[in-house]
This record gives sequence, structure tokens and C-alpha cells, in this order.
Amino acid sequence: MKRGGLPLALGPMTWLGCAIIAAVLPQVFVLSPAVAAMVASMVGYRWISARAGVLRPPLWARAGLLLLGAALAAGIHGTNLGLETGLSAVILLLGAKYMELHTQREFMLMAALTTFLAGTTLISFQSPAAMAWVLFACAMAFGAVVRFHVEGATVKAAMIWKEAFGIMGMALPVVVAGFVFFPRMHGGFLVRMAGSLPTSGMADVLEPGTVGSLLASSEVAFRVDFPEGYQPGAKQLYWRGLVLWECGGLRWTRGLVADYGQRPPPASGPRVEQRISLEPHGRRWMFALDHPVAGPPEARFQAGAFLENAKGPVARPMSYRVVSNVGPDRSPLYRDFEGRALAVPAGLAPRAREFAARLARENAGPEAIAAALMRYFRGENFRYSLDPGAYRNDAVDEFLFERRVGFCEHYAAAFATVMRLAGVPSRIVVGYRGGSYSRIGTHMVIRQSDAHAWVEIYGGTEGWLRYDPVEAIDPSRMDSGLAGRVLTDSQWFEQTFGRMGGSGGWFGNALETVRAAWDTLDYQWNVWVAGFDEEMRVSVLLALGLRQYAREAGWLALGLALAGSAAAAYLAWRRRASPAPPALTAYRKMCGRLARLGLPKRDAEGPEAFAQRVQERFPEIAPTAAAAFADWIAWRYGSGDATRARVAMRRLTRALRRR
Amino acid sequence: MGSRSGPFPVRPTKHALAFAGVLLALWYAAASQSNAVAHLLFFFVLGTCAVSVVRGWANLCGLEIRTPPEALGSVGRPGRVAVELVNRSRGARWALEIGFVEGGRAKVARLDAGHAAAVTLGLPALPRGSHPMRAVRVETRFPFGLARCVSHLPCRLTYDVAPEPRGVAEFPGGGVDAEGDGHPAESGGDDFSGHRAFQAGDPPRHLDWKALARGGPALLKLFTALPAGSAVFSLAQTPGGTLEERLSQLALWVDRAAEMGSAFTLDLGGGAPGTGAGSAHREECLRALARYREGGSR
Repeated sequence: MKRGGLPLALGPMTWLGCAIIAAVLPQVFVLSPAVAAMVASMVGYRWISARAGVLRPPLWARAGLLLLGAALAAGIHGTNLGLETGLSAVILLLGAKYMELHTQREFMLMAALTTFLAGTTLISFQSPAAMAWVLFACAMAFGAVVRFHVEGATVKAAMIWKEAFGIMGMALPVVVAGFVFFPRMHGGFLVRMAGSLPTSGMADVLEPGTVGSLLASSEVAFRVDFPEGYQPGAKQLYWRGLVLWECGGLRWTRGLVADYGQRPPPASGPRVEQRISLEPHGRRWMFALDHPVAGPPEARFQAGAFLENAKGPVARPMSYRVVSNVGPDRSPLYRDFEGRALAVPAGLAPRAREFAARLARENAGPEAIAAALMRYFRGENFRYSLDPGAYRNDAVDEFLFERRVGFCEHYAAAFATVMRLAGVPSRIVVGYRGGSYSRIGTHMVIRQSDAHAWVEIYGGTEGWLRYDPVEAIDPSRMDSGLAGRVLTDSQWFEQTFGRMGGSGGWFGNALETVRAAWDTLDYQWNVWVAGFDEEMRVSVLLALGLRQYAREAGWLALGLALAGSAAAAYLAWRRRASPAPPALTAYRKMCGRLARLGLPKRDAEGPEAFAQRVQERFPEIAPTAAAAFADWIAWRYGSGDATRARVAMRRLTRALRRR
Repeated sequence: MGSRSGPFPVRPTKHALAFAGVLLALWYAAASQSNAVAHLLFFFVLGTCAVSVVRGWANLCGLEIRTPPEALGSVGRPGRVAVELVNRSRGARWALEIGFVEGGRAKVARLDAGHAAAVTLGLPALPRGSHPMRAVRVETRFPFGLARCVSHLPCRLTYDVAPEPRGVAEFPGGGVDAEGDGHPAESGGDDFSGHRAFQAGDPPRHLDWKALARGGPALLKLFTALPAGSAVFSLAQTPGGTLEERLSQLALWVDRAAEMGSAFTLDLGGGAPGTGAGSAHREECLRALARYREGGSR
């Protein structure tokens, strides 16, 4: 073991360097690839110079690289002193420290810091893959420490990995007990990572291109399972996100804000309970099947019968249960809101105004007007395309009467605008439509490509009625470019890999199965790990009947797990005395034979001295004795072959017997 | 008895502080971000660190020490003893430090199952006497260096500490040659006994040429001879002083006589070691001096 002041051996240095690089690597996606590259070059430079026998690189090289790193960090973050800047600084300082590392204390400190650095990955990523990588980097840091402590012995990397992963494996009971039972402290007392708030998914503005931009993304928006077993039909799979009240032609915004707290809107239709595992999307709304009537405690009902998270934007995976009634929202339209639900900017779309007035004249009642408008879409050669070209936000006329090509947001915005112009209160709902069942899981996956917008009109006593204008479009009029752009993951997989397996597409099938399995894992992980919070802990304690001992249960479980892990580890590793190895037994037999011949081995006599005496006493077998003792000593005190030692000892015993 | 680390066989090292700091930081980050996955990592690192201590403790299981029955040292010059550390378990043992005293430890980086390591250990500085050594301390910081695990392997070793060889160089009844007539004694028992400054008229063949060549002063080598008829050393022949001083004098004579290779007798009354020569006899005599107790035999 090297003490302070002595150069560290190359083996532990290599392990630590690799651990630092592994810990920093995921930050490529968060900070900047340049930071990771900088650290990698610092580590690489030091490693190469250590390999060449240099105690540490010259001061100018160390200072130069550090200054370069500082300049890089300043260039990336500027004067923004957020968590990311701090993280960049820590990473660069760790790399710089590695360059001059040479005492035992520094080595241990750096190994510890490397585990922390690996952990910072989890600020931005919480997927199973991220966790697996972090554990790998931690195992490498632990491995570096193990390698450091066995310096001087001949060791293979496999032994180091075995130790590191073995110890981590033995810690699993502590991990499970601590994670499930130990009380969670609630934070909010530290800075959050400024740029890490995900903003995937929908914005609170609907304008041409909003939904279209999501369609190429196969990212998961959320996953659902139905604990009560009710499987909604395809026509019912409208996942409500938020409701837009403010009309601006093809551009709609939220406008009306009213918080109803825990009071759900009256709704009809079959009751469906859902367990939703929501991916972070950086907004407050919480998706649920149309229409939610009961949500988790943190959910609040908003004007438009959708749910918002009272705790703020969804920044990390979130699991919740929600109950929906898959029928119309029967909320009354209050007088105050009626004006908002009918407002259209003055001067907007004069031709649409005339058209709406005609519709209102020719049809009685909101539903008849809506049906006439649907017929218009069906009959007037409207096309559905991801590349409808640019529209101005107020270009309702252009869409309705000239180009007649658009995507769901164009249809929904135009439909709702026309309804308002015809005197029917309307609003736009933004969310997802459809979803696909995981091949091996029991849950449904809703992806960004399922993003959708539809319209609700107020039908008086009927409540709010859903109209999806896109349904009016004949599928034959779907733009051919669309199919190429809007691919489900499975289609993409099939296209990409299907041909590789020949005509049967076995490779594509296999990949699809792997993908489905991964998706299930991801889902379960989000529900049971990433979404495991204090509420879930309390639920587990409730199920076990330990609710009133919530705090004590945490300590007790952690204590028991520590004791259990320790006992299991001790039993596994002490590896009690075995029956004597055969080579040792053979040696003892030979000693017994010599004792009977009047030459007992003396107490504390080493084998070399004994061998000398044997050769002097029995010169006729001296060569056999010398060879046998040499082999035996090579095995017992070195890395010699055990079988060879045993065979040699037996040969000597036979020789003694024959004389 | 060798040094003990205190009542606890497992003690954290200062490196544990670094990991404790990291755990605290991980917990703080996890709690402040309400990040469940970071909590999971926190418990992973916590559990791993805890289990690593047990791993270190288990690393000491199945070790055995084999020592010779006796070892010899003297006051002011602690002895050394060659021992065998045997791994009787089925797993390899790593990063062991073994020893009776801090300064006399030996390191064994790896000891495979069924193997033994031969090491030489320093013995503690103890007063004259016969000391039973009942255990050897073996410690490890394997695998992470967070804790120092200590085990005391039982052994049966009698450590005899002989008196420090000190006193007058002349044997009882003998003299120091090279001064007087200028010639060392002609007997075969001549031996080097020390230096004095070279004076004019001294025989040049007894000049310490090596010391002179190293740039030192001119010194005359002195030789003494063991008187043929007085090769028995006893307490009665010592010049006087305390018992320890007299035993030290005897130890000096024994040492010198053994170096010369002459036969001599140490008479301490009772079961004396008898007459003999060479290093084995010397050791026997020094042991007798170590074990000597006034009023008792040995």
C-alpha cells in the first residue's frame, strides 16, 4: 500500500481514471460534450505520463489544462451560476486533481467524489438505463479502491469486478429496505437544475405545427394500465390534456383559468380507473382518459375538466391513479364563461363568418350545425397532411376555402372558430389519441406521435360534446408523405430491421419483442422506482398494517436489512476452513512416514530446513526429495501447481516406503 | 503482548469520512430534488459501504499463524521471529498486515486458499524476562479502506528477552592485548574487541586500514583472548552492581565468547546450560539469562 508522498501504482490509477470518465460520460447529454472531452483528455494525459514513469505532469501542463477547462466552462455557461455551472466546475476540478494525484488520501477522496459525480447523472436522467450506467460507474470507482488496496498482489480485472459487484449485490437488502421503508425528506431547499426541466410534449398554445412537430417523435408520453380490468374501446381513447378557450383563428391559447380544486365536473358514461405513469414533460397538466372525475391528491380540476398538478411542472416521472367517466362533460356553461366560449377576434375570417351564419340559418341547434360542418369537411376535398405549408395564425379563410390542407390542429382550430361564429360555444382540447398495447405488458403506451387536438362544443343540456374533425377526412386523402413521417415505433422497427431477417422479418420481430420488454421494464421502473415517493411508502405501510409506525418502520427495516446483509455477506465470504487440500494431505502423510523412519519434522521447522535434513539422512533418495520439496514449496508459498505438488509428495512417500 | 488497537475489532479509517461526506451529499441531493432514483443510489452506496466493512472482517477468517515455540531478543534490541501465515479457508485473503508491534509488521498482499506465507516479524521491546506471546495481530483495510478490521490470531510463543550485553569487555581473569607488549595473544582464541587511537610505536599491522581509507582517524584494532582456564562465567565473577547490571555483564561475555567460537560455561546455579560453544549454546545461555530470577533457579 502506498503511503502519502509516494507515486501511486499505475493499476489503481487506470481504474480511477476509467471510473471518472464513466461517471462524466452521461453529462455529454446535459452539460456539453466539450466538458466531458476536456476531462477525458486530462485523465488521458496524466495516465500516459504515469505510464511513462513521470510522477506527475509539469506544472505548466496542469495549469494550462485547468485554465483551458475554466475558459471552456465560462464559454459554455457564461455568468449563469446555476447548478450546471457548478457541476461543470466540479467535473473539471476533479479532472485537474487527477492530473496531480499522488497520495493515498487524494486517491481515496477522488474515488469517493467519483461515486458522487456518477450520481449527478440522476438529476437529469432517471431511466433504468441511466441507473444501470451510474451503478456501473460506481462499481468502477469501488473497483479502483479495491485495486488500490491489493496493490502488490497479482490480480486480474475479473477479481476486481467480482469484488465490487459482489459487495454491491450483497447490499441489495439494504437498498430495498431503505428505499421502500425509510422516510423521505421533502426538499425544495436547493436549486434545481435550470436547464434540466424537460419540455417535451405539448405546449399550452395550439398553432399550425404544434402537434405536427410531435408526430415524428416516438418518445413515450405516458403509460397506462387499467387496474379494474375495464378496457376502453378505440373510440374512447381520447387522453385529455388541457383545454384552450382563447380563439385567435388557427392559433388558440388557454385563456380562461379557473381552479375547481378537488371538485370534479359532472360526467356520465362508464367508469374507468387508470394507473398512469407520466414521463416528465415540464408542464403542469396530468393526462387522463376523457373525462377525469377523480384524481390523486395533488391534482386539481381546471376550467375545461382537465387536471393540473398543484405541485408544479412535472419534472420527473410521476405515477398516479385517476378515475374517468368516458362520457360527455355535463358541466354547465356559466354566464361568465359563455362570452369566453363564444369570443372570436373582430375582423377575423370574414368568409368564415358568412359561412357560419349560413350554417346557423340552415341548421337548428348546435349538433345540427356541427354535423353540417363535418359534412363540409367530408365533401369538399379536404386533405390531411403533415406538410400543409405555412399558414398565418389568422388564416382560417385560407384553410377553409382555398388550400384545404392541414393537420389536426388546423381542423380543430377552424372547426371551433366556425362553431363560435355560428353562435355555438366551443373549446379545443389538446391531448393524445389512441395508444398501443405493449406486446408483453399489460399496459398501454402513449407516445408523442399520438398527440392530437379535438373540439368540444356546448350542446346545452347534453353538456360538452366531442367532435374530432379529422374523422371527417377520408383516409384515401391522407397525404402520402404522412405515412412515411408518422411511423409508429413498431413500423419503424419493421422498416429498419425487418428486412434483415429475410422475408419472415424474424429479426424485426425479435427486436420488437426486445423493445416491448424494455418498454415494460421502463414502465414498471417508472411506477415502482422513479415514481416511488412518500405517498407510495405510506401505501406500502398501510398494506402491511404498519401505518402508525411509519417512522419506526423505516429505521427498523433499515437496521434489519443491514444486519441481514452483514450476516449474509459474512457467511458468504468467510469461507470457513476447508478439508485440507490434497497436496497438504500428501505432505502430512510423507511427514508421518518420515517420523516412523525416525526423522520427525521439528516444530517450527520450515520445509526447506526439513528438506535439507531429509536429504542428509537419506542420500539415496536425495534427488527425489529435493524435487518433491521444491514442488511442494512452490505450491504452498507461491503460485505453483497443486497437482504437481501432490504427485511429487506421493512419489517421495513411495520412495521412502521402498527403501 | 503485541499492540492492541482497543476494544473494537473494526474501526473506521479517516477515508470513511470521505465516503460519509459523499453519502450526505447524495442524500441531500436526492431529498432536495425529491428524486426517488437518487434515493435508490444513496441506499446503494450506503449498503455497499456497510457491506464492505463486513467483507473486510470476513477477509480475516480462516487465518492461522504458525510460530516456533521460542524466540530470543535482548533489552534494547528486540528479536525477530519467522512465522507462517496460513490461509485455511476456501477463499483468497487480501491485503493483510501482520505483526506483534507497529514497527515490525509484514504485509501479505494476497494469500490464496490453502496457501501459506512465510514472513519475519519484529518482536516488541520488553524488559528482561520470559514473555508468553499469545496472539499475533492481523489487520486489513480490504476492500475499500473504510474500516480497519483487526483480528488476533492465537499463537504459543515464548519470547525470551535477554539482558542488554553491557559491561567491561575483558573476560574475568583475562586481558586486552595490543597495548602492553604490542602483540596480540598468539592463541587461536584471539578476537577483535574494539578500537583506540593509533599512537607512535603501535604495530602497523593492527592499524584499521579500512577505517583510514574511508577517511576516518587512524585507529588501532584491539584484540582480546579468552583465558584458557577461566571459561566459566558466573554472577560471582561480575564486577558488582545491580542484578540487571551483572546479568548484562554475563550477556556481554557470553556474546563475545560465542563470537570467538570458544567453549564456555555459564553458571547461574541450578540447571545451568552447561558447557558448549557456538551460536546454539549462546542462545541457550542468553535464554537462561532472560529467565533468571534471583532466588529461583531459572
